[in-house]
Amino acid sequence: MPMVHREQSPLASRPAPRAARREGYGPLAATAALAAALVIGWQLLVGPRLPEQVYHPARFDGVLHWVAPGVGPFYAHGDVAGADLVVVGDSRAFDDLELETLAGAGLGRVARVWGPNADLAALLPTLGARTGDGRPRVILVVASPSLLGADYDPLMTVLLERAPPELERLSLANGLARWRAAERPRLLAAGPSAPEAARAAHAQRVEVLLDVWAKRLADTTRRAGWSTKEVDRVLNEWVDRQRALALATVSTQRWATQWAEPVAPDRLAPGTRKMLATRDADQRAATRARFVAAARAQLAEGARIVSVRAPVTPSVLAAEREFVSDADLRAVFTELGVPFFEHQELALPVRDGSHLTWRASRTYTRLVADALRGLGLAPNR
Amino acid sequence: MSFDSVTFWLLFPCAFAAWWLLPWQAAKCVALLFSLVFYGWWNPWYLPLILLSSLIDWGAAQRIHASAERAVRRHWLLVSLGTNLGLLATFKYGGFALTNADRLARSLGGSGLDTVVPWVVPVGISFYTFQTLSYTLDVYWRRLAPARTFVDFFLYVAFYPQLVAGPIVRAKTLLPQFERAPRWRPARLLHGVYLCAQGLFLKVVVADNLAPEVDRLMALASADAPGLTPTAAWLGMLYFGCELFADFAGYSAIAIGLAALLGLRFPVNFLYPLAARGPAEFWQRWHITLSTWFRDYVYIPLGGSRGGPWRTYANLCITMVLSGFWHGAAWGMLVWGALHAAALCVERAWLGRRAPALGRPPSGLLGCAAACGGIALTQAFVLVAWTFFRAPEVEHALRIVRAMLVAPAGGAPLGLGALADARHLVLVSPVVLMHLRRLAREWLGWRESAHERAVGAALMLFLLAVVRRDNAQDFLYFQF
Repeated sequence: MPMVHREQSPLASRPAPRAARREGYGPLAATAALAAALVIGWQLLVGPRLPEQVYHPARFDGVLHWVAPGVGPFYAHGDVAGADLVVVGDSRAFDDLELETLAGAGLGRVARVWGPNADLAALLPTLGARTGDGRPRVILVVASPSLLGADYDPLMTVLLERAPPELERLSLANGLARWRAAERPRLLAAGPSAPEAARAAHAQRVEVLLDVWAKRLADTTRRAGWSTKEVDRVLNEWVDRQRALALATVSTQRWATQWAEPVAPDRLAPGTRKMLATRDADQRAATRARFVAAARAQLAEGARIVSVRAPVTPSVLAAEREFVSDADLRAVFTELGVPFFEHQELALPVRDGSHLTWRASRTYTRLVADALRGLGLAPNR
Repeated sequence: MSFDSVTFWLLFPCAFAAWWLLPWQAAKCVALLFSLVFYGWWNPWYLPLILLSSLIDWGAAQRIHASAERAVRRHWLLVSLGTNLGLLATFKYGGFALTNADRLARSLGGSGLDTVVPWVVPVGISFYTFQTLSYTLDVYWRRLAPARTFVDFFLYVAFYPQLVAGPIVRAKTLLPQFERAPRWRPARLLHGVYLCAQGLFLKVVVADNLAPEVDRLMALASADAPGLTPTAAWLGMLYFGCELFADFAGYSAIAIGLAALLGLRFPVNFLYPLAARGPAEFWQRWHITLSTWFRDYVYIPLGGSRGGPWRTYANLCITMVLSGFWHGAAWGMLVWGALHAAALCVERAWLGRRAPALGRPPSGLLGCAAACGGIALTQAFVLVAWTFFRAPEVEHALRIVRAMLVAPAGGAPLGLGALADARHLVLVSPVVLMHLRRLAREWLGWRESAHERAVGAALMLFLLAVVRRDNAQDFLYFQF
């Protein structure tokens, strides 16, 4: 460093690091063999004792699928415009159904558009319309009481009030910086002004939300077309998926859910109750009417609609039934005249009361795929 | 393209095979092509910049070398300096200048400026401009003959192992190695494999998994949230210190390892900086190629320690503040550089030549105790200084520093606060173990055997295989 003159510094005359003594390839082979032995030992001895991973290793949140100002957010996986089957719904559409398994079951090209407590009445008209490339042949609605209205996150509602951002402008880092700078005061103003602790907690949430959305917007613009980053992402995700399927892996970021609290079947029951309580009967009736109208329009365009209700735990089901009975939900699809498979009481591992573990999601997806094939919905190719 | 991407490791075997199998001149051309693909993978629009910088420095160095006239030589040196510093000023510091001009205009009652510059900082611009600068300066000072061909020179600037985040390899180190084909040596290959495994382990397992915890601390600081307890602040900054070390030392290890796989030698960039017993020793261990660059091209030309104590302190301050500014166009970086300058001055004034230096082990029990105390004090200082390096705003950094240093005296609660999970300390343990091993070598003369090295590498490969990577982060030093 500056304070050490060349002649004083042991670094100045330090030669580049010498290679190890001549050792041939023996240590390299020993290293590889030992690493392989450790992996095999881990897989045999530790792997079976690890709690099941609660998140699917290949899942990512998807690119933003804009519907309308103030509505959403929706995330898309796969090419929605060119899909034979589009899965739509709330977070259960994301967690409980595997696109690859559906595609592998002969159901053609599969895509998904989901959003937490999704407003499907707003989403359905946009399928295919955004690109003008025809509507999907089959729409699989993953139904839950939130279909009839629920409030996911008031702060998110504020974030979405403004028109969908012009994604191209956000493709540069400074575009995102500009977006953040503009959104921060709006979001902060939506929070409490007192007491101090509540204000600070709200400000912290705002920062987290801005961070998450900045990343998501960047990912969305990146995935909007071919790019080297997209190549990296596809390759990295493929390798991660293969590794997670072959090996018992651990995640430091998921310690809380993976080791300390592996599966909590009642965790989301209070949250479910809280979210559904944000709508009264009149609001639910209005949402129901909008959904039915949107679904009818899709049917009139020639699309086929099928609906499933995914498994949940008894505590979450009880919370849902306080607001929407099974019969009420069933009546929606009866009125539309579309098949509705009710699997809510199916006994499968549910990690938090509302979403299946990822291995269970594979099992459940196969069951749904069988049901769809049974309806003759596999494309003729 | 990044060293931790699957893409790189799919393409590298092709570059490796071409390097060793093709005739030497063709091998260099293929390496150059691969380097350009490697760099252009981030953004192909960056390529003209590096080409422009290289062309100008190549031409300037040729003319400097060919001319005996002082005025001509100086003219071409200024062309080179102007180009490189101009690129840095425009692309790296343009936004900073505009932002501050905007703030100044607003504070004076004006309407302000549009502070958004229409470009992003090209990856690695600070590194390659410093390399080309050092080349021209060395040729000017007659320490180095210019490269024989433009391909050699451009390969030196753009060589993929060291292009985007160092180590900053000097021309006198790398250019001679391009003159003839390297020899295939199994021991060098082994060394390269070990370094790549170590670097990937540090990056993928340690740094990427600590990063979210550090982000959490920064979110607390930016919101001035009540969960920012003294323990949370110290723990979060410890995580950041380890993340930064694992990230950058990991990148350097991969870079040096790749060079070894290609039969080349790169200089050491990190010598276990957490084992430093004082600020001066810290800078002999941390980002060595940068600190020696500043020593040789800024500190010594300024006069070094030759002008008496006050001149020395002034030179130290100028050098360290410039070093801080090199790291980023932000006031926090300037504060960080100034803090290190102050620490170096205090150490020099207090201990003079008795200051601990690299390669001088402590003697006796008392010496060991003093060395341990020195390590603890140095690391505490370094962690406090890192807050200005990491926090996006000086104000946020001050909140963390207050939580670290002032709040405990005021009786603030010492719990983990909002940073409620101390389990990530397990990720700190590999970093600590590496440093303890190094101390055993420096203080006790212990040297690991080939078998111990093989076991260490196997463990790292095993952990790379089983620890998931939920939050892949860019290498931190790419932004500099």
